Amino acid sequence: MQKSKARFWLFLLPALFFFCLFVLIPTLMGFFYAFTDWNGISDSVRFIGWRNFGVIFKDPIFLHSFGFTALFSLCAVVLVNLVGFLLALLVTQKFPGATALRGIFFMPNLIGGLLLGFTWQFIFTSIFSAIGQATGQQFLQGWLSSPETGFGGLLILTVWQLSGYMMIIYIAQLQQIPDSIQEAARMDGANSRQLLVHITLPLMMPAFTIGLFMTISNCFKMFDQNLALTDGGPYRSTEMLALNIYNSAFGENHFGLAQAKAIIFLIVVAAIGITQLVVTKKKEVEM
Amino acid sequence: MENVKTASASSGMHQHKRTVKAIFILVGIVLGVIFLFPILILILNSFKSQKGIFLDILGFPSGDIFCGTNYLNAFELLDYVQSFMNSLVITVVSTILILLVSAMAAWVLVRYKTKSKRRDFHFICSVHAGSVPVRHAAACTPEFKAEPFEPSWVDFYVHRLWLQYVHHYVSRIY
Repeated sequence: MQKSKARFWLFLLPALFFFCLFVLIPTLMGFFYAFTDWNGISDSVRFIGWRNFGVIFKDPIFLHSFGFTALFSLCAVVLVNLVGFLLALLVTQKFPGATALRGIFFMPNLIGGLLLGFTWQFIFTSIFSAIGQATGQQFLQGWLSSPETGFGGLLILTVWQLSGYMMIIYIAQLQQIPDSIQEAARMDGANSRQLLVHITLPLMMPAFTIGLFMTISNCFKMFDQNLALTDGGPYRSTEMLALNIYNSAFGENHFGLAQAKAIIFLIVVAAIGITQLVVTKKKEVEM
Repeated sequence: MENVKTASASSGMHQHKRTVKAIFILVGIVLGVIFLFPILILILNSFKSQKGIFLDILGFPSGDIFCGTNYLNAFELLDYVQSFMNSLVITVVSTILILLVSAMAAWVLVRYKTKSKRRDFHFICSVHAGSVPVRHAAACTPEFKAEPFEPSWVDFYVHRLWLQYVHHYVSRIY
């Protein structure tokens, strides 16, 4: 018993070491800096209490950014998981080219977020307007120049990029569902829709738990794509939280303020993430 | 009579299956084209000159628009070999460390502890992997500007990826 306990901690030690060094200590330091007026460079760090938080909740740009991020995340999480699941259903059917399609759908994940952002910026601004001019469609003009099209652009880019990744997770789970269960349900007279709703979906819940958590945290944290596609423009209307925090830290040199924003961000994302994990974990069924 | 009925029913079934298959292939082709389109644009634009990209937006790179020296410039002006080596070093070092550290942790967590404690650790790790956005942003900037290699990047990547892997391993095993 004693020996195995020693081994337990020995094996856990490297992980705990890195966890403390790169997560725990910086987070605690962050909590400290959130209550100071540190500008990120100078030695003067003055303790100013809750003043940073007071400033944040009166800052219309931050509040807008918060709302924008929340709305974006809601739409993106629903769409990414829906599209990812449908793609997984499609490529697990038997037809020629199904395997090749898996590779194609996953491909956007092999390219970095910044590059994708710039590529899609070109597509939205140049190609969309070229197609719009050729076909006379007004709505294809001026993409990314208004908050609505900026939102739509970010949404399209995110769904295009992340749904392939979610598809891989859902394929793995779909293949774990034994054929015998589906066959038994068919024997009992279940049609395709009933099979999907009552057999496949409940058995897919473990994958949805992971998939939803990953998309929620990825969407809230979105930075590269936001920076490359719109850079918050026009007039900071499509600036998401990560970019907003980054701008106040490195653009305006308000490190203390940015850290306070980051703390609020952390608490909100953690609360949403944990709630989602608890709720979907309860819906999981044993096979 | 009975035989004929079964034959026609099975041929109808067969016909139905073929139609469904054809629909799958059609949907697959359409989606495949949509997913590949931006990557196609990326490749086409890499063969066009700066002017050509905006002069002929959808066109194939040929004639005045074609520019074959982009790749050569990338190697010379952007110091592609150096950048690639940086990425390689970071990837190799962090992958080895991640696999070692997270596999060790995941193994004992699954073997030795009760389920609830395991889950707590899993929560902490995965939630924290999603936090600390300022550090995240700070670490993104040098990557963007392609500044010279700094060892602190390794730390950053190890930190972030390691957490993702612990999350991955632990969630896979239980």
